[in-house]
Amino acid sequence: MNAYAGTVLRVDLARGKITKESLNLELARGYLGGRGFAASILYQELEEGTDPLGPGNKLIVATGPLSGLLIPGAGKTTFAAKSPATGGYADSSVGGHLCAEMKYAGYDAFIFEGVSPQPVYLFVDDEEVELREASRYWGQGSISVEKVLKEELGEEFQIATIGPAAERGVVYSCVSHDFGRQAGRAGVGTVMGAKRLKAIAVRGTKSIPVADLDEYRRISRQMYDACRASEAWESWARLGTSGVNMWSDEVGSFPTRNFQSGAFEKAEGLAGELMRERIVVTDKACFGCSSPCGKWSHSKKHGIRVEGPEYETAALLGANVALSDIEDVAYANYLCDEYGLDTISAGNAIAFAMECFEKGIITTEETDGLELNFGQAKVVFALLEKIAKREGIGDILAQGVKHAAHVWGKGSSDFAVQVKGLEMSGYESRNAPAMLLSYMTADVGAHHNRSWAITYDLEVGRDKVTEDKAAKVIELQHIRPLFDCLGCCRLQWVELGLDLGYYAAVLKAVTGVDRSWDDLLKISERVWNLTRAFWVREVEGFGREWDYPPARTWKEPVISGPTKGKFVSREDVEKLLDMYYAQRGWDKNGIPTREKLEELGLSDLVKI
Amino acid sequence: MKKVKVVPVGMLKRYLSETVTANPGQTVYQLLDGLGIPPELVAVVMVNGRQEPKGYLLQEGDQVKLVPLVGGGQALVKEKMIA
Repeated sequence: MNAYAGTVLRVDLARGKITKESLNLELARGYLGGRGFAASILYQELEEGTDPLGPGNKLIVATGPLSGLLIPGAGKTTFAAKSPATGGYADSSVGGHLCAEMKYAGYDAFIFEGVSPQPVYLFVDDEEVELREASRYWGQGSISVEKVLKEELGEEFQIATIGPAAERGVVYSCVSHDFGRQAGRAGVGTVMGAKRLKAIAVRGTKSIPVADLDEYRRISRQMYDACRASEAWESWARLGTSGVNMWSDEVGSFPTRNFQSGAFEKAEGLAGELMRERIVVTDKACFGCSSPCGKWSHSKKHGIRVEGPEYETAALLGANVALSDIEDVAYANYLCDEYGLDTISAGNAIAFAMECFEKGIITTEETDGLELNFGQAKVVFALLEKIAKREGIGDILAQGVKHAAHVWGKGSSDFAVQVKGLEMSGYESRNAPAMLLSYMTADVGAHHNRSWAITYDLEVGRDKVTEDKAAKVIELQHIRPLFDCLGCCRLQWVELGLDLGYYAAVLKAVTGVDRSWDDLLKISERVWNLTRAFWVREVEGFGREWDYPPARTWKEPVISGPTKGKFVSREDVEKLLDMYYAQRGWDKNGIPTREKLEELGLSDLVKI
Repeated sequence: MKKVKVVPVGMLKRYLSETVTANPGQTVYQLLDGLGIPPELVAVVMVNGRQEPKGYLLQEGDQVKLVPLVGGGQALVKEKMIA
């Protein structure tokens, strides 16, 4: 099958048995790869009501048809499972080189089942596949173990690891790869930890078959030329995502002090150019990428090296906890990377605890004696350690802000900033209804990568709550996750303006299957409806109320900055959902209708 | 007096169709105001290859690039004949 490796590796961790299965042609045609594979496999293979941390859950690691080819950004690997953070669908993609190596070794995906009796790692060297003892790595940091495995196995092995947080069941633990890239969200690393799978190490030496080599090379060349010619390349390559730190603050979307505000009075300390000059050592790119957004940094103050901090980390472990020294944020980033914690959820958890402390909802009784004041770097570092080790207050925060609000009560759930149990990423949205709707309806919880619509709010008017905003969110929810089906980074399109038409053209060249961009978007819509169906099946009573943002959205106006006084009313939240559901072909409770499922070819599979 | 060169990128060309020159001695905010470009749509201001805040005072001979939030929120061409 052109553009695919052709084999899926199924790993039964309980019995230590590994089987090679041919890639299902229907799966490839209907779901493309990556996130599409994951959604389909999880929906079909998981038993209803599976415990996310039990043996019934499956961890899917999937590449896409573009992964490993010489195409800008074709280095994205999807990790997916039923989420221990939300109880619903989770996938998270990671850049780097893993997917390329998987395909060169001959595999489109790995499916991990069961729980290993002892810590193991998966060793893959082309045809040679085995589970190896990993007890000596258990307890070690994500980055440290990657380094050790590289030294033991060889530099050319590509490695994914988990850290101590995942071993201990912190629900927002990530999978780490390439010394600082993460499949970060919704606890895919936690599932890997529950399976006692410490690492995956892959080396491959084969090639990937393509349908039309000349056409593939011709279009690929054009894509690289277009990326390099982009007028946005210079700033993007210099700053990466940190380039927008100051913009986000300027427009009041930089989450500050647990999203109480969208502007941070000390944001200059986190400016992208300051970071570049003060701590960045070099640029770092993923497989096939010519526009390196990764920044490899050295903090002399803390004596560490780390990839980042990128925008999200500057937002959630900077402004949101009121840290203004980029070196402190870099150190918090380093701790998260070694422990294997998602910086977004961890930053939220700490900020939530700080606001609870500020309001007197918790006192030093609950905090193991720590004064949880915003802006205290040492407190942030101490809490990260407590979370990773699940000590004291860290044990509560390790289960996410929704859980912590349940434990501490006193109205704190109003400002536990999450949707569906997943903490919100870095955009304060009380004056950005399209962005808010993006968070409300994202299929893993409050994450921006499915739809980043704040720019649309800015373009057409921030106060407007209109049909076109719902339409824009849906459009983006089909375009952006499509990249995760293709196994390719979206940032060449988002940041460099690479034309979407190239992707349909190059996919046709490598697969030999003629599909328009609209055909591909239909596949993306199918995946979106399937993940929604997964939520409906797995979460009792799932529906409209699961799409609500935290009550702060309508109860409390923004307290400072350019959006001061703004909020989205309860009526507008309902209006956004009504418009969104109607446009999606879902009922008023947010459940896909029979007609929609039939239109998407899902009616046989999905029974709701 | 050597002028400032101002290069618009991507969707900002809707507001400023081509490269123009401007007077030094004004801030980037003032420049944007004069050109009718909403400052919130400019994500990054690059001056001589470095990022500068919008309060930066333009100097003689500066090369300014105005970078928008390129793709977020916009669907670009859906079908395109690849040349």
